[in-house]
Amino acid sequence: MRRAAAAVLAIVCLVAAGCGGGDNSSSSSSSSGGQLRIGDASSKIDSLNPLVGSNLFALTSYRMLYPYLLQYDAAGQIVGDFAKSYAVSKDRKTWTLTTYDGARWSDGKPLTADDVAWTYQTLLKYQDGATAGFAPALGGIASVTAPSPTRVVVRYAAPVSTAAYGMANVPVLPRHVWARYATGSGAQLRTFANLDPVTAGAFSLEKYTPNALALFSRNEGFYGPKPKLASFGFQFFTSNDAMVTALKSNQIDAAYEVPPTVMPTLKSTAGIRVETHPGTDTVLLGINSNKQTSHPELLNPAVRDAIDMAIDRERIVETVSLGTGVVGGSIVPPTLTPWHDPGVTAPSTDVAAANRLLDDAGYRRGSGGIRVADGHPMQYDVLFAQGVTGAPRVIELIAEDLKQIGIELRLRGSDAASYLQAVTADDYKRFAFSVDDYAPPLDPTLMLALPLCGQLGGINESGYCEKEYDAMFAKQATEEGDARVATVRAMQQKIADDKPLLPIYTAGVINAYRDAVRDVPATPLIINYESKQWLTQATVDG
Amino acid sequence: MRRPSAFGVGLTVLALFCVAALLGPAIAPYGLHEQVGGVFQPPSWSHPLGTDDAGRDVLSLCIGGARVSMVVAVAASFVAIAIGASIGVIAGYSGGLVDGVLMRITDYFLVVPALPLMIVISTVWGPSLWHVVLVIGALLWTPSARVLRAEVLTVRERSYVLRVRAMGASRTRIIVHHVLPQVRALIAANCVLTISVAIFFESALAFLGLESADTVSWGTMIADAFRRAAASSGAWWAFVPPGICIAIVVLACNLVGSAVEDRAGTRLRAPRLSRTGFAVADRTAGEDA
Repeated sequence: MRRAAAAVLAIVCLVAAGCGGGDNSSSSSSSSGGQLRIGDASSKIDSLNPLVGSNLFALTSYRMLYPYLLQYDAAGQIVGDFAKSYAVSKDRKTWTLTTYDGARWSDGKPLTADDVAWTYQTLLKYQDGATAGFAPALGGIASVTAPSPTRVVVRYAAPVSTAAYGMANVPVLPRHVWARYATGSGAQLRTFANLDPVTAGAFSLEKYTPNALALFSRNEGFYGPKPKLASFGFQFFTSNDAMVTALKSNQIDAAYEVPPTVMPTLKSTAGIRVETHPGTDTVLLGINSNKQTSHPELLNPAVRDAIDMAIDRERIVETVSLGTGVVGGSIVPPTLTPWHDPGVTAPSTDVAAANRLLDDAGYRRGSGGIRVADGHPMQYDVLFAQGVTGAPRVIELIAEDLKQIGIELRLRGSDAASYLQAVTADDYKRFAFSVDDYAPPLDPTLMLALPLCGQLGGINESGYCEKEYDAMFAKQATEEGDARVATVRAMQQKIADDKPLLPIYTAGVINAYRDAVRDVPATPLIINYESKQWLTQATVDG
Repeated sequence: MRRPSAFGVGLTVLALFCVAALLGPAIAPYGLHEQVGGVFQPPSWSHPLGTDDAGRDVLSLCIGGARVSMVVAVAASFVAIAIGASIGVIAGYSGGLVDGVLMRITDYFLVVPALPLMIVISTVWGPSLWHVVLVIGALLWTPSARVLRAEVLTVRERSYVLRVRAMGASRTRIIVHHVLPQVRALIAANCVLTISVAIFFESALAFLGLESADTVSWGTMIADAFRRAAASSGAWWAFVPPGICIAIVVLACNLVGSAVEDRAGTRLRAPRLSRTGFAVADRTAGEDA
């Protein structure tokens, strides 16, 4: 009993307290390169099973533990990971990828192109059920084969614009471990907890305590460039205050997703630097755009224009993000280059003009200054999930702004599941306004998919459904290069014109590091789950 | 000497907070949703308690928040006492099967952990002030029911009640005209004490985000401060003032409640206890003060 307790204590010390007070010299020789301890109070690893988890830190863990064919580099370009090189046929339908030779899984079994082919085939086989989450990444794939141990051939039925993005987001699983779960409906692929994973990435999982911490150590047998770090860990806090205290007392080396309000004090703390840079996390105000809505006045373009003009986005950015965010204009945030259209911007705030619009449209002010539409006061519920970035402040500020033009919003917060249920209830008949945030990856597909007809009942939180827009979405999905950029930009303009979703602001990324941490490149993704490179380059001074 | 003064102090403080709750917006220097400065500005002459994480005046919020916090606490306590007193008095006076059934129900509610159940119910019903009132009221009535039943058991056996009963008075008449007046003070004491518990639960539920997001109460003020890491930002003024308000109201309720209870105890015991009884009552009162 006693020894077990001591062992647990030793591990806790290793992660949580750094017991030696920053003295790393006592560590064993294999730990050269240091240890990077990252804290976060807003996220967790929701599962160790890469077919299940979806949180930022879960995705980052999979990225470090498993091989992926491709990945993003620091410049946002897609480059090789387990695939050393790749060639694309002229008709863009066949991808031939050459993988590393002699790679091994952590249990000693060889890692070959056969594992890749099996993983892709399995995910495709169950894409209408157990592995539906990977269907977008695998869209358009006709077959995946492994003609030799170092060669993977991916064939598409038609050219797909997100082919490389897809291959950068599908983890390769060890066939000899996972094959036994790929039976029947494939449900076991999802119920498998994978607590002692067989991996082959740059790092191996050392220790994992759900909702508390995950420890990774360098994989000496990694096929790619060797990480400089000996180990890294994630520690998850239940409050921002606890995380900040841990950073100040040297229990962690980096604090991610720091609240903007703490920046001033952290900046003035010796030995700590705060890095802020543009992010992708965008807060959207959804206005019911469904033809069946029970609030037909909200379909009136004049009302939408007035709402858009009344919202003081600058004030929201200043109050909620203390200037670290940027005002929203397009549903594709500015950090998603080259997709973002800088020409699509929100109108400048003009309450007087907004009021004139509503006056001219015939919405007279009734009791309490609330306007009247079709005989009823313009009072609406605004639905939101409690976890939305900046909530409830950002919604309070929107409500104040709209009050000035005679529209009253009542805040209705709930958990994420009830929120979606309330928005989609009765085929979008009932809800008036919704607020949600999306933190897209570096590809615009997710943001562009939000207003699709096909996403009604799914992630469509405005009830918007236009054939013309859907056709544009289908078009960009097969285009390449400038052609795709042009279509994606036209789609942003279309949404900015029809206003089913008003982008309010895009939050900045605020991460704080101890000065000993070096070479962690900035990423709009908060923590870069699209690449192994950053964590293999990072160093921590002893 | 000391007991009345504790009662007086408590009552004065409660009265002050009630005035703040009633006048609220009229005496607050700024509006509840008015952005008057930057985020987390330290106390200054224009904002004696600084500003919160949305740049709103904390003093105004404390005054405005008193309304929600006090109304919820008082209303919830009335709900709790209405249920608790009815069950306690009926069970105590009726005895037998009625007593047994009602007390088993009470026992059941007594062992239910209140806060987790409140969280579950509030989540299911959705965030709203009246839901919070009902939830707190529906779960805080058990101690009053127990205490009142015990008291009514003794009242029931007093000679004047027996005489009235012998004269043929109806059960309702006896309860309303002869039993209730005897336990009135005890009900009042329980009511005030329940307010102090209710205000805690109101703050807890508000802190957990189970109150409507556009209300301002002391609990939501602390929740907002916590969410935006006021402690790490050094902005103590965002969460200390509402915390002190809660502490003061709870203290005042307890002062008033125990003072009333003591007086009630003395009067109730007087007719049936000997001189020793007076001594006992006085001694406990002395220890209390």
